[in-house]
Amino acid sequence: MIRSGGLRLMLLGVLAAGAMAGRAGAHPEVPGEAAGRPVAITAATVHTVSGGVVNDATVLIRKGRIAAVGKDVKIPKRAIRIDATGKHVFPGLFAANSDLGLVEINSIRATLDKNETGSITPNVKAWVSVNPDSEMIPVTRSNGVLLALTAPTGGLLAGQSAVLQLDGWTYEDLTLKPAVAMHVGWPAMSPVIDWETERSAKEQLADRDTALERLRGAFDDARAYAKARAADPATPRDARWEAMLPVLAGEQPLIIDADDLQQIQAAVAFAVEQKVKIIIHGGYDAPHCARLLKEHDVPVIVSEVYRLPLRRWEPYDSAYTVPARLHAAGVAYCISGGGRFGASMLRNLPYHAAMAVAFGLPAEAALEAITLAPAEILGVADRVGSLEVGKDATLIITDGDPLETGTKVEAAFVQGRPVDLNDRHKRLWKKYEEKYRRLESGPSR
Amino acid sequence: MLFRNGTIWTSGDKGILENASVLVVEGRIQAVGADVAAPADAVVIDLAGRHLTPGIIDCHSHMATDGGVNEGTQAITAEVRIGDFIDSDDVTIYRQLAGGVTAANILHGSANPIGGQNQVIKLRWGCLPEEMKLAGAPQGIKFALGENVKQANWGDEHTTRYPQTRMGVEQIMRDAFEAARHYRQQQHTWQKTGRGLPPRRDLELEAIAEILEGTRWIHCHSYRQDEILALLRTLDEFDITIGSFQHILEGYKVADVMAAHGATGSAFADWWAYKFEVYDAIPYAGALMHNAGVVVSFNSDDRELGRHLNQEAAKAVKYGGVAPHEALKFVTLNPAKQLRIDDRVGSVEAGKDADLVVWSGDPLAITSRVEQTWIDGRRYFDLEEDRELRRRDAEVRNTLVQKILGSGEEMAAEGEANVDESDLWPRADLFCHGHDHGHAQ
Repeated sequence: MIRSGGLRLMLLGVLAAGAMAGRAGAHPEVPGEAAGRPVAITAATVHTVSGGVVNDATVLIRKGRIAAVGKDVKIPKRAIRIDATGKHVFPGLFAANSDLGLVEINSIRATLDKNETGSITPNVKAWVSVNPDSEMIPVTRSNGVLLALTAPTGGLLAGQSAVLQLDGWTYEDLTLKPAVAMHVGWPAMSPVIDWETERSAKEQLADRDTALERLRGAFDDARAYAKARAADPATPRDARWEAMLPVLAGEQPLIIDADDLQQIQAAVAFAVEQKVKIIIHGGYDAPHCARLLKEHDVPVIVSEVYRLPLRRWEPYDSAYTVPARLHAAGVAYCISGGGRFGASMLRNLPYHAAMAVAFGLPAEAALEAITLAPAEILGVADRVGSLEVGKDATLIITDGDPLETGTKVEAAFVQGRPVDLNDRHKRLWKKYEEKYRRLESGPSR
Repeated sequence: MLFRNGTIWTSGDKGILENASVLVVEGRIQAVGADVAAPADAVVIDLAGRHLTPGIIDCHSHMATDGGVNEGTQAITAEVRIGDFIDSDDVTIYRQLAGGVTAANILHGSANPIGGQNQVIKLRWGCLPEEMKLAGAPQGIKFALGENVKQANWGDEHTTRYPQTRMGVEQIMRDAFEAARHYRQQQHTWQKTGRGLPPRRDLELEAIAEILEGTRWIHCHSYRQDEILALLRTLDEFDITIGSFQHILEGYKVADVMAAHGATGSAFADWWAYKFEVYDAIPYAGALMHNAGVVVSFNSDDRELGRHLNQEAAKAVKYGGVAPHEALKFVTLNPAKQLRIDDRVGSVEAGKDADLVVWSGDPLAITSRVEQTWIDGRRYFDLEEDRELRRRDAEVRNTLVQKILGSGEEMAAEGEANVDESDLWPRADLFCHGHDHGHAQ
């Protein structure tokens, strides 16, 4: 455990407040409070990601930012000192895609806010629907994941995502950067033939062509709208096309869901045609078109590593080796922690990265793929992703490598504020430990 | 055959042995230890410090089935048998071998309170369906409780099949046991007296009667503590011991009752919140049940997750501090106990089948890989061989593509794909798996 009286007092204060908060639909973990004075994490092994590993180093936090990192840091007298001897400091882990805060329980419609009806809804914004009291949030950050893109899904133009920092009272506190990207569901380019698909191959191809026409049509309409507005400011505003302007201006990237080679190629062709920036999400076949992606500066968010081969004849580890192959080919990529259960499993993000290491990715690259790389791809590397002077003090203190299952996150900070690492699971664990303690020691019921 | 110079995780009383050997003779383990003498003609495999464990056993799988695993048309379908349609060509088998799985419990789905009969298999890739079956494995049957069987997440059109509540689920189990008991009594009476016509053989009641007689084990899909408790109370009344609770994500709340009954729990390591009845699921559940004296396993119920159950076992160390060697038992010896096949498999001990996995490093580390998987002393997966096969397949593929291109035949029009019939087979538990139908797991 952290041996600093200062931090312990601060954390205890936070926990006591949490206990008093009780339960009324909200999780009782109370957001952290700024210390009001500098915090120095000393004698730690600091994994900066951007500048290597520094042993026996100090991270100095001032006003929520990293003020200094290194061996010879002058620690202000009034600073709270946290002795992290034998501990490690890492940037907060960063999940580059999720539905965090938009989904509580997948099977209960009332708790779902990620898929707006209609296929062209570029104006919807994920961050305004993020529930800061989702039980997913404390569970996720307990394992070191302090940053996450949360995004709408469904249809062709699903809406806009935001980068969240996982501690705060409101969605505004949580939103590190709004309007990060516009999300696109790319239609399947080849017909899907399986037991669940009722549409014939021909019908599916017609559907695909209709979808692509609609997508292209949306861009045409948005451009026409921009022109009309420029020509006559009295032209009525249209929320959907207004939302498209940053995309058309090349300021906001599209994040396009695409796994299949044909989808990726078509998406890149679309980006060239429309002169817009894109990021591929999914990326299963991305290593097969590495040259194309590099030529057009298209980065890839590998949606998940724990994944089956998409085709029966492919090697058993074809999904496990995607990051290593992208790395070797020099494609800009990062690793996300997706999968069938969405945000509830986001805490396993570092294990996706570790699995990529088992299948050929260098360990340092894997760490970068869940810290700095997502920050760079999503345009927030000036704020987070590495331990550098001037960046947010959004970091974790651990007893080891977060890529190893047994590693425990012992403390976490979001913009310098200590994070309560309790969560629903630990609460229930303690509750039922108490039941068995009583059964063993107390009088029989 | 001698595996020597390795770190052996026995899953047995010997714990973890360093610099040790395993002697295999005719598919069985003959000796395990530091100084094992091998016959002169033994094939020696030098582990060179690598780790060797028992084969992974997945206590909840739907692989190797060539059709739906849910005969969900009625609330009780005890007569149907997974063993009647084992698909030995399912590529999932090979992929799971590559994750160290050597045996699995292939279960009926969870669409109804009393589902069909299970089949325990060994992953003898390349063998015929009958050869996949683990001969002598006790018979079992799938039971299910909660949201799936009351069709809670099936949509508004599914509101009339009985039962629609946990109250009804508790009653239908009783009804079934009473019916089976009466059926057996009638048979016995007729045998004794010979009066009247013999009772008509009823395959559904036969299977349920076998449960009452202790020759068929229940493997019950379950989540909430109330339904777990209610089933155990019912079973106690009928003097039935349950084979295993499956999923059992709230088992940690009634672990004392489970232990008293002798119930075992086969859970997910860290799944939660995919539906309401798992909102209280916690990753500490495995450790809590284990500490209460329940035999605990972690299963996959998923074709992907089944490929790294060793990593799931590691989560029992992370969440609740189970010792590493005990944690590995969650995916080796303990599922074998739950399936009552631990006399044959589940540990590296003399007399057991040589179902073994060679790992590149610590089997609980994510960064370790399976290098070899052995079943009955035969090698079914080998990393080197896999690379060779890839090269061979790529070559064949390329040759075929060139032949097609050189044939001068006209290309098929877009959308005129040849349909591979196997693509049309469902390979999942409809009511267990996502597919975005809103009734996951």
